[in-house]
Amino acid sequence: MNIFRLIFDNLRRGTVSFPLPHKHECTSGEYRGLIHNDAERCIGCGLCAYVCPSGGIEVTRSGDTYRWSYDPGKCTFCARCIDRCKPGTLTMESKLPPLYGEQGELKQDLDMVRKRPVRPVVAAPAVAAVAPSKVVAETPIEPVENKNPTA
Amino acid sequence: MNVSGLIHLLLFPGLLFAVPAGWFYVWGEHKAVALMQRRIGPPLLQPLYDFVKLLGKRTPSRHGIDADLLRLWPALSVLSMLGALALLPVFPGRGGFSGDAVLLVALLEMPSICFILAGFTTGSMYGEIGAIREAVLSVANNLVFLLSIVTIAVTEDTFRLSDVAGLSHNPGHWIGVFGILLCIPAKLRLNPFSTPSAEQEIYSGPLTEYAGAPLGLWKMAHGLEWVALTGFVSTLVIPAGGPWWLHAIAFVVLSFAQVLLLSMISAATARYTLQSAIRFYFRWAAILAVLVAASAVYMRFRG
Repeated sequence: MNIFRLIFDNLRRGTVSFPLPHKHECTSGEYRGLIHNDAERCIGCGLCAYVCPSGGIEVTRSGDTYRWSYDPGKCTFCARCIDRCKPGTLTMESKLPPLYGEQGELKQDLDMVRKRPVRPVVAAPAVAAVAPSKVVAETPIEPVENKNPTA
Repeated sequence: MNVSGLIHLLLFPGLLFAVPAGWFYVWGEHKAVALMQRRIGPPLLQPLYDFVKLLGKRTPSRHGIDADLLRLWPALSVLSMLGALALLPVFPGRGGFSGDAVLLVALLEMPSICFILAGFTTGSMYGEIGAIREAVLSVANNLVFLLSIVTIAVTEDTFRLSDVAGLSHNPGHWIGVFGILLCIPAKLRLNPFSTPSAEQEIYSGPLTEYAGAPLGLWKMAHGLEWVALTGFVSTLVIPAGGPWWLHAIAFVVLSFAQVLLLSMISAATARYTLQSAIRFYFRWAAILAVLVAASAVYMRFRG
């Protein structure tokens, strides 16, 4: 009677799921949770809203100010906004979102002043012109003198 | 006026007891399946929440489907189950409706007939496939079910429910009880006999097009079927005599034990194909037919 042994074994081993609201941190480090925006660094380019497939992020501008809105109820946690965010201000939390009962309860609105986009720092072109890469590559590397032979 | 009968119909084991007991048994079913899958399972009041939620939902009107007929089938199922419960001899010799096993079988068969008719009423392809499967499976399992009841009736020499109820030392009685237990999974559409309402294949069959309050009534009918069928088996094995409250407790405990056992077997088994399910029941039908004939011959020569 394998079926009764199977039933008994399953009952004996106990449950592996947690009751809600759970007290255990049961997510891995790569868990895709709520999106967090660093208001200090956000430049308001609106690219996150542009690439969002579900309309979970909205950016509305008025003059020099803009409002960044995020509705987790619409978010599919695809992380496209994270991938496209140039200054890297968007991050995803690695914990479960809190339980909520009302629609739009977890919605976030951030009012910010629009900043100029931060351009990446480029290496000084004058140095590159004087010393082409070929010349740099052919320069012999001087060996480092070992000042502590006993080590 | 049959006051005792009204108490059976409205209080115990009828409406007032059976509806909450049905939700409790459905909770037991879900909990047992969850434990078998190593989950915690739903809270105790989940079937009640589901029912209230379904009552509050708006049912969309569908073109070409008679909405009144759609509502009629689950309502008929609920009413027939309440009637069957009123017939159960939970307290043998203490009044109630007088009925025989044939009437009980007819009432217990009503949800299956309503399920088939609902499948054809919806006009859905999945509903019709589920209805056909239910019809074929119903013929197969009812053969065993009827032969089991006939076995009990022949060994007890009566079809009266109040006389066949109670513990018996006759082996024919126990064979009949075992036969009825074998048919309960098919009547409740549980694994391995869940072919008429296979969720993964035909989207619950006749229930595909159901939503809102009518679906809630189907869920209630399912709970009442649990109470009636397991209660029928309980009345056949609880010894007669003793105080009425002990009978009531034994009725609930034994019925719930059957719910847990059958639900766990359901969770531990895969779904039979229709052919396999029919073959299973015809094999048992053949065994029971031989036993009924043997019992009849034995009774003839004994008395």
